[in-house]
Amino acid sequence: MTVYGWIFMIAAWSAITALCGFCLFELLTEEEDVDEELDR
Amino acid sequence: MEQAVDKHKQHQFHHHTREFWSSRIALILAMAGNAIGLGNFLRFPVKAAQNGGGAFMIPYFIALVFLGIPLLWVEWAMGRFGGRYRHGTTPGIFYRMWNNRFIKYVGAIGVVMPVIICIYYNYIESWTLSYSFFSLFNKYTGVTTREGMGTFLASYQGRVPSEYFSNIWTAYAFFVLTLAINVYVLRKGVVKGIEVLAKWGLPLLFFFGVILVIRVFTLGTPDPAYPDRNILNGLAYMWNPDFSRLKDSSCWLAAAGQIFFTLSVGFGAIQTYASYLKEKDDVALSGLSACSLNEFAEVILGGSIAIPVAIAFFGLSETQAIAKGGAFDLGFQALPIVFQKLHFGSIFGFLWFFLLFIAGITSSVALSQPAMAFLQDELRMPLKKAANLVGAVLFIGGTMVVFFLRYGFLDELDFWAGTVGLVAFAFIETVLFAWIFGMDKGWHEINLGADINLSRIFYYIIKYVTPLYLLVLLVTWFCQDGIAVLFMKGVPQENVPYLWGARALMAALLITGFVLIKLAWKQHREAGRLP
Repeated sequence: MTVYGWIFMIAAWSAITALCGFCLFELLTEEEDVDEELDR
Repeated sequence: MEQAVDKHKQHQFHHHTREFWSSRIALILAMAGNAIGLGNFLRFPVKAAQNGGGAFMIPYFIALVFLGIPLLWVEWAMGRFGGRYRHGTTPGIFYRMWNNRFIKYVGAIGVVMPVIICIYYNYIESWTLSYSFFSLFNKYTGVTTREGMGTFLASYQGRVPSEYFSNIWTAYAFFVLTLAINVYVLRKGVVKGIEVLAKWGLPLLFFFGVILVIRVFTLGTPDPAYPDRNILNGLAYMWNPDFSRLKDSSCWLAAAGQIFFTLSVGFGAIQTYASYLKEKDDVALSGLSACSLNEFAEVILGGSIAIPVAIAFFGLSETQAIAKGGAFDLGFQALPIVFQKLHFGSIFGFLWFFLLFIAGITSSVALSQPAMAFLQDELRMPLKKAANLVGAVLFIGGTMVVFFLRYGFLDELDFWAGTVGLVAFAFIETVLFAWIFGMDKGWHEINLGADINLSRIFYYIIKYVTPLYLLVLLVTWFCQDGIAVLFMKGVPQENVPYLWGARALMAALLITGFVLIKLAWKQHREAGRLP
């Protein structure tokens, strides 16, 4: 595999993992917000 | 007594209740299950490898941002909007978006088209179920050439008799079993059926996928006699970029097409699932989450199994020949040979085909759900009766597909409903959403209850770029293949009556859709449910 091959594979995987991570983070923090509101 | 029954029926008719998703995670998993299909594991790696490897990811991600994600948000927002008025399908949703007496008939496409697709999709799905059994019980053990596996598949499909299958009845039995499982899920409804399937199926699919990827990545060089045939070269074939392909418009069209199919947009199924959301439930973040799960399954899992393993065992030139034969040759002819060469190959074969079956069934129930929702919401049909009726239609149509496969019956349905029809419908719904319903109202719908702030850029992308993207796809595909398919150019004479039969089936289903819509709206009017 060429260097470009590695770069493209890692870039694509990272982009998708970052998207998944962003969604997960937003979903989890949203749950916390709801809990905080309920506590209040 | 009869009066009491009538009163009960009237009560049901006027006090029709709809289900809602029980939790956000269930919704995201069900939507991801809808999107993740056979294409993630078979179509994507073949398209990527044929269109520039790593370089393919440039038009792929551009299409994701400018075509796929905007369309997802449009369909989610439309579905939730329709659900507010107790419409789970596009006839009712379109009608509420544009108070025009004819638009509901255009919406019929969003109910009939998924039924047509599901008619043949169930049959393909049944192959994955049967092959998972064949793997587990070593039915194809000893068939070690591609030609041999080709004969195995062809005789299973009833195209040619062979020592493996003398007739089509095994395939038909698996088709009936697959359909029965689908109907069982549909009869349970959204929460107890579709949700439960997604909650179990999706984690299992990802688990099987990760196991297979780990096995593939630890293959090294399976046959020392062929040092070039190794997993690194497999990954190289998938990822080494060929930038010259970016100058070719077919590469960009292939990427846009892949994004379109993988996200299951243009089917009418997303609207139906989204109609089970509550009025102010978020669509922006949930839609993006389902999309990200689909992309994980496609690029990370799908891109790491079929093609790399084929290169590791068959080498470059033979894998290229397999890929030219199409995604199904890769999945059903090449990989069973590979699994036989692995320790515990029957287990890995089972994992691969059962993974495809899960991907298939979570999509096929989604394809059936618009018809279910139409019967329940618009004609006030009870759940189980609706499931039985949808099952009967799928059974009759599917039986034709099983027995007429060799005459091109499936391909004809797939071209008109599963290719051109989807893009045409997506174009119509985007124009309706952005230009007739109005982008200001549309943008408000997408952002209502949103848990993330969407950039205003998407306002303009949805209004201008997405419809243009779809129009280019539609015109190009129709000009490239549509005219030849329309006039049946190069079709053997014996196939012609069957292709007309496929067209008659599609026309009959569409006309039935029109008649049912007319009937439903007459009932709505009489009950005073229309604006």
